[in-house]
Amino acid sequence: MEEDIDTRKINNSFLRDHSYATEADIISTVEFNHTGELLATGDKGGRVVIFQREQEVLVEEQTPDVVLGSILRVLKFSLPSLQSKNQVHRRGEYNVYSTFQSHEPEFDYLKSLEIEEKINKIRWLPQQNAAYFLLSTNDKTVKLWKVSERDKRPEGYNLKDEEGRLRDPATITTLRVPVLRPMDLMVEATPRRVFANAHTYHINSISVNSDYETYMSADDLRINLWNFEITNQSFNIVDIKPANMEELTEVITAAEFHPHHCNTFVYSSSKGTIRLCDMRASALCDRHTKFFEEPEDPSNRSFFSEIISSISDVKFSHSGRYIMTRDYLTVKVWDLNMENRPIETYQVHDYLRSKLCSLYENDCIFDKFECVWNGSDSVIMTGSYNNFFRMFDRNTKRDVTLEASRENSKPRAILKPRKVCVGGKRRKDEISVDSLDFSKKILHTAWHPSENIIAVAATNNLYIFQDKVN
Amino acid sequence: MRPSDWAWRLRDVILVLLKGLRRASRAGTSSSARAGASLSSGSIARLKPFPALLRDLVERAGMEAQKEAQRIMTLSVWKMYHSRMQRGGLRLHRSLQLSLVMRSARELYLSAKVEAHQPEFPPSGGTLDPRLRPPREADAAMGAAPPDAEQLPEPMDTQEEAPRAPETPARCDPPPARVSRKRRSSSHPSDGGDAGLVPSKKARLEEAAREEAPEVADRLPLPPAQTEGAFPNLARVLQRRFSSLLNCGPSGSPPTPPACEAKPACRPADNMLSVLVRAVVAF
Repeated sequence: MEEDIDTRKINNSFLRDHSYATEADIISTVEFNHTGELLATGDKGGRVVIFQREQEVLVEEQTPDVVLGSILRVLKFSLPSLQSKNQVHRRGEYNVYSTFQSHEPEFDYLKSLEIEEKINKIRWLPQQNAAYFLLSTNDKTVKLWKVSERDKRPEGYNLKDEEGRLRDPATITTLRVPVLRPMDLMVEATPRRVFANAHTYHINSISVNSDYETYMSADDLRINLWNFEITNQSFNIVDIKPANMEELTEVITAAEFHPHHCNTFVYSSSKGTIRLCDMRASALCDRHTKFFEEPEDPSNRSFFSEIISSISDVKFSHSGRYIMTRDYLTVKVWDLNMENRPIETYQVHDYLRSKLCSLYENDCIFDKFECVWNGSDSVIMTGSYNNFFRMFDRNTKRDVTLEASRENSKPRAILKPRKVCVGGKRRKDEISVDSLDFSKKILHTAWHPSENIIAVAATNNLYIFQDKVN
Repeated sequence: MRPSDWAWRLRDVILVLLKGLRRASRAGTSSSARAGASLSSGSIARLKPFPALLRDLVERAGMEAQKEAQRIMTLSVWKMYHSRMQRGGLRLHRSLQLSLVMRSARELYLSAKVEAHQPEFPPSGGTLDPRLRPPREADAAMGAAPPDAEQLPEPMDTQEEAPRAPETPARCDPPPARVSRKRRSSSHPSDGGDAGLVPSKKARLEEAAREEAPEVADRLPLPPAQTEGAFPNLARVLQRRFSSLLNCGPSGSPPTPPACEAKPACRPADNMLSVLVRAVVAF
């Protein structure tokens, strides 16, 4: 599929659309599963909403409101309300599949602290049977959820009547075998495992190992390794807590397992460094195997350098050869074989460099942006402010800024590239830095593992975009 | 761009200084009268205004930076205090970042104070530069509080490392005792290891009247780690620290034990100072 990222993204649908902003509806994580069929979102209220892609039905249609003229077959994601009467079949639309409350607010009595129910991360397990499994975590507890479908129901019990009440044995005169009859599809989510009480600090990331038997959870100072079957024990594999907390200089900000090597993982720190560890070297991986750090550019030194160099997200490429890190102003791609500097650095919103003081005041400087690879590792994407998100093509070195907003793009319209002007002269359609809305930030995005479909979370709205196909 | 944003840019500060010089050379200012007194050579009549001008600008820039630094410090303390109230408790990463900013602001504040007094030096050529710059870099975190200003010329005039060195241990002995007492009283469970570090980091310009508790930045990560709920101590420490900052001006114990490696935030202040020192010397 052509990856012309400049103009061909179509604004498809608004899922989880809310016209008013509730704090609990703010989306805090977005994740596609391994096939891309399911898309899970977690929010601040502890809920998980799973969307499923509809089965593709080949259709050729020309409906009056297609904006693309003579193009015959178009991938359209339309809101149900915009559905025209001519359409019977739709293709590849994401609909709500299941909603459940994953975490509840808790209270830690020992420390007199409330534990937020906000879902920090969701990670899917690869599918091994008819059910889907995912891990969701809040600040302290990781849960394994099983999402399964039920579309048949047994009918004709001997001892129970249709409502489930026990029948009087005296009235039972015949013997019959219950039969399974189809029913309306019901999707149920059940918590299969609860991994609790293993973290003193706030969990910031979880990562499933490529052996599909273990996973790790990372908090500010420690990383624990779990087995999916065992909930009351975990192995501590990284511990950077200093003996004297006064000497604390850095914390762990993100961690991920290598996609193919089950013994390798990386974790990033608040000082802008990444450490790669091999679990075969020792049980406690405090000594890293590789240490990735870029020497700081002294000309860019400023008062807030330490804060903006903190890495907010680290992601392995699908090939496993590269890692991508996101700090406040840049995205960097590192080759695992070269530790002294990244191979690519992309400026996401360098125009904010002179505004760091104001961003400190309104707390925006602490925002943790995420970054994602596309399926072929050729394009990387990350979010910014004013509901902008940026994509960088690693091969052509082109980049584009797009906006996720309903006002500025109609459904099924092609997204227009946006531009932020930094100089004095502002051209038409450009936005000046001072008119950026810093309350509208895109922190969480996800890319379909094989197709060019992206999910972008803008506060409490979820947008899905995909390529236009001829 | 907000005025606060430029205060941190070394380049912008220099530009401001240069612009001011140009403006003053065109218009002529009243500071030339003051300038004459500080310069030894009276023959360079035309160059007379410049050092004083530079001093003025340096003072103004220094004051501006000082105000900004204080504002940032206030803001950081406020943020730190209010992060306790938020749901989920104190976040370690956020607290660490806030403490880093506070420490940088404090250092800038101190260095701004120091270099504000600096132009009072008689420009004695080469002896000024090498002496001042190394001790300045080491003491960038230390400052002279306003009430201590009158004591400053005394160590400055000597400009000898030797007489300063013996002063330091003498001066440092009473403070560590007080400091360590303060440390204990604030329920700081760490041992006296830090008290041992205090003398080695104390500024040579430092006065005996040190009331400061140890750097809050060092202390802040401690309460959340110790017990996530031990915030009363944090609040008390913050209050004490903040009030002491406001009352006698910043200074005091060193910001970092060796674990916190070489205060990188010092460097912009260092550069500014060294450039200014060089500028003063040139004239």
